[in-house]
Amino acid sequence: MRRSKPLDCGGLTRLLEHPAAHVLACTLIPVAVFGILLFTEGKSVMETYRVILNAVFGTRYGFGEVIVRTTYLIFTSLAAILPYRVGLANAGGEGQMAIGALFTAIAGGTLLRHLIGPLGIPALLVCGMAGGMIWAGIAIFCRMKLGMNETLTTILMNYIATYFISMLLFGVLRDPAGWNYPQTVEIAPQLRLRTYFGTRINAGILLAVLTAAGVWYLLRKTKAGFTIRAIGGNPRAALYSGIQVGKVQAMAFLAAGASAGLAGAILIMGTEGRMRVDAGATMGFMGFLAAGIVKNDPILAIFSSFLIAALSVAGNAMEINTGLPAASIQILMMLVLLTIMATGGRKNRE
Amino acid sequence: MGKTIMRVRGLTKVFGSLTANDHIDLDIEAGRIHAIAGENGAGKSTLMKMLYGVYPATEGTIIVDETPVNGWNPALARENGVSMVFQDFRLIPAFTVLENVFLSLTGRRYVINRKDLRHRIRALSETYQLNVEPDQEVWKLDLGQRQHIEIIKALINPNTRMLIFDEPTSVLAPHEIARFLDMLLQFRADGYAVLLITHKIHEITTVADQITILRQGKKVCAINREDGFDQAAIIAGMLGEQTMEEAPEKPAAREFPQLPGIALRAVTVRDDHNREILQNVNMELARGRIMGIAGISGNGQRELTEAIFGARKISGGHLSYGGEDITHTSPGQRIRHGFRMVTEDPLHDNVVESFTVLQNMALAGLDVTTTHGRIDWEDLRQRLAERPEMEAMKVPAGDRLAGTLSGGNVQRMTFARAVISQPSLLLACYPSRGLDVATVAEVHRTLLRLRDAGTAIVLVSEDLPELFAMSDSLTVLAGHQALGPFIPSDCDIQELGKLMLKGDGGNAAEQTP
Repeated sequence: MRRSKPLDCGGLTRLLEHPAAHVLACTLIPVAVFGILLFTEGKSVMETYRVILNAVFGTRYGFGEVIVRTTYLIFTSLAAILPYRVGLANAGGEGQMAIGALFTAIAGGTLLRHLIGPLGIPALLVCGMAGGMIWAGIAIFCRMKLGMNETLTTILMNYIATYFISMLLFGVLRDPAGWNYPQTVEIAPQLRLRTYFGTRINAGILLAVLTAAGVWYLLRKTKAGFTIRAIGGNPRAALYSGIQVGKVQAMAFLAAGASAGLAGAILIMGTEGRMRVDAGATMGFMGFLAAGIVKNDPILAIFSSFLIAALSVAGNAMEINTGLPAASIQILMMLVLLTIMATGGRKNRE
Repeated sequence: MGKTIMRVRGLTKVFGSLTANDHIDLDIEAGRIHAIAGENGAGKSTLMKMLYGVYPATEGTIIVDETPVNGWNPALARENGVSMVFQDFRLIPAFTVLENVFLSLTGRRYVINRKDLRHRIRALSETYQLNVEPDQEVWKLDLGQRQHIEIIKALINPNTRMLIFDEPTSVLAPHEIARFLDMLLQFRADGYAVLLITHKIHEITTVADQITILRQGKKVCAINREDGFDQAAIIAGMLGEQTMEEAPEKPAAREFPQLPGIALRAVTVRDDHNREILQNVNMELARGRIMGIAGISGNGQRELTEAIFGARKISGGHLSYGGEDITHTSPGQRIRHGFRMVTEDPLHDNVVESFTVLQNMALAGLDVTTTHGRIDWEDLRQRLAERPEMEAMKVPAGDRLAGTLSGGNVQRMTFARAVISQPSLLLACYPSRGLDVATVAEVHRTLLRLRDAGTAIVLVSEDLPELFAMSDSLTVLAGHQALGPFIPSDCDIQELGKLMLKGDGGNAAEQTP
């Protein structure tokens, strides 16, 4: 019956509790470790880091790409945060985003093709949300009515979404004028989001930051958020105070699906213009990570989303300029994430 | 008399401000059944856990084979032949019986010798007529069978010579109890020392050779079978001096015929193991009355109150509020009818630890107001400050995190929250538990004030004098039934105590060793 004591590294932990030290540690440790790795691979360490920094901050286009990916990641991280706050886990941001994108592309290329922009753009956003909500809704239905674990169903439904979309793109939805590429017809030009500064930055980033702030406000200030936090804090106490726990959980899960679906809508309307196989791939998974490393705080998720987006853009540049495979940036990304988690302290759920 | 295995001298255990065991002396001999009797909270389980080494003693010595032990822990206890069968089983449901037994084997074994182990389990099963098949997965077995596995885990160690059973019959159906007591006699015949913790009188008088009675952490007395067991004396020892002298002034109850009352008709409730813990309960809860619920804990108090509140399904019968059938409504709907509940474990059921006291007061306490969707906490704080309940119950400051409160403060907070909105029905489970005398008096005053303003109150308590003083009628939960109502002024506290302790078990398993 002896209990093992946690590893005693009190002094180090206390030092890292200072925010500046924390940021410094989360930057320097991964950079140093990754540097050693580059060195053993015979690459120039300084040159590689120069390429990475240049890719993110050196060019207008590169920085624009970072912002575009940040947009998706904020939405998909919110898709993980909301369910977490009611004691559920949504690992299905990937699939929900993809279905949201599919709905947007179909509606923008067919039904809503002739709508004027001011009407069509909000309508397409709603389509994206609906797609994500339907996909999340299946998972939460399985949880509530059949007792199925929502983490597993959402993971599996990511695969279903991918193959379902492939099936449609190679089949009924293939653009007849698209030289046989597996892609849908392009959505109507007036339904596209404007891009700015000669980059692909669009209004989506504004919507994403506002949504994150809105979620923070909802959780912190409103009665609905109070209800959500009560369930997250002690579902039994929530039940005993008359809260309909199952209903609130289902609503939070649907809202999460809507958020991931918005990421899909903005992917189509802002960047892609049409649905392609693998469009927006990995953004759902990365969003789940972005939420996890900041302990499901919606405001901090904006920053973790930016960090992950920057690293993923840097990976592409590294492949082009140093001959290292793009995947090797994932080593750096994981080093950063692990350091953040290892030094993040033991903050409680609330 | 057998050889003395263990002597205990002056054993004391202090938890914070609570002295759970106060200088206990015991002698445990081979080939004897020693019963430790006492009410819930008397300190029986704490004592057993010290004997098995789960808790280190605050003071006192444990002497095994005439040698005082040092750093006593469960591993050492097992080496010295002391085994414990816990009330909550230590089994891994996904494993088979054999695998669970393997886990408990001492010594370095890296490979399961299934054939040998299977053989040994079968041999033990046969000797003691245990109903255990080695290759069954544990999750398929019922509680009685799981208890058998725990017993095999204890017996399979060849060193074992002393068996501790913690409330062993609480998980058994009535017909299994007689079998179980037979098994204890067989252990005795085979030379094991048996230590039996129980609060059931008939089990003690049926099998025990010696009884030690604990009350409020102290050893009250020890009785040998040779000196004769007197049931009345045992009950009196367990319940203590039950006098009525500190009864608060209680005005006569008023009638509220115009207010809707609550009625239970042939209600059946199941416990967490899906067994019917209460059957065919019929009850009238009139407004302006206090109904006391007496009984040894674990006889359905929690299940009954949860069922009335809506947090547990009513699996048979009907619950009505003023003639309206509310059997299948949610806690939320019943809260809107004015139902409130203080559960027996407020920290677990009623409190969000990551919230402040103020935030917790908003959970089915006073409703919060919002301006533009934003909760106005300052307004709630001010309205609470005006309420006399907050002051009277000494609820801690609103900014404190609930998770940092002591048990007593959590109790104050949840009680104040439940009474603050003048409920139509208050389900109060052990509301005075863990509170100081002055606050207990305040709880009682508050209950009477609510009663006289027309609240129907269900008061669950282990404290018989409290129940007698406060209640307008009494119901006893025992043997899956709700007995009563009894009128406190018309019945005798000792008689009621007997009813609680014996329930329907008094006529089962009548046999002599």
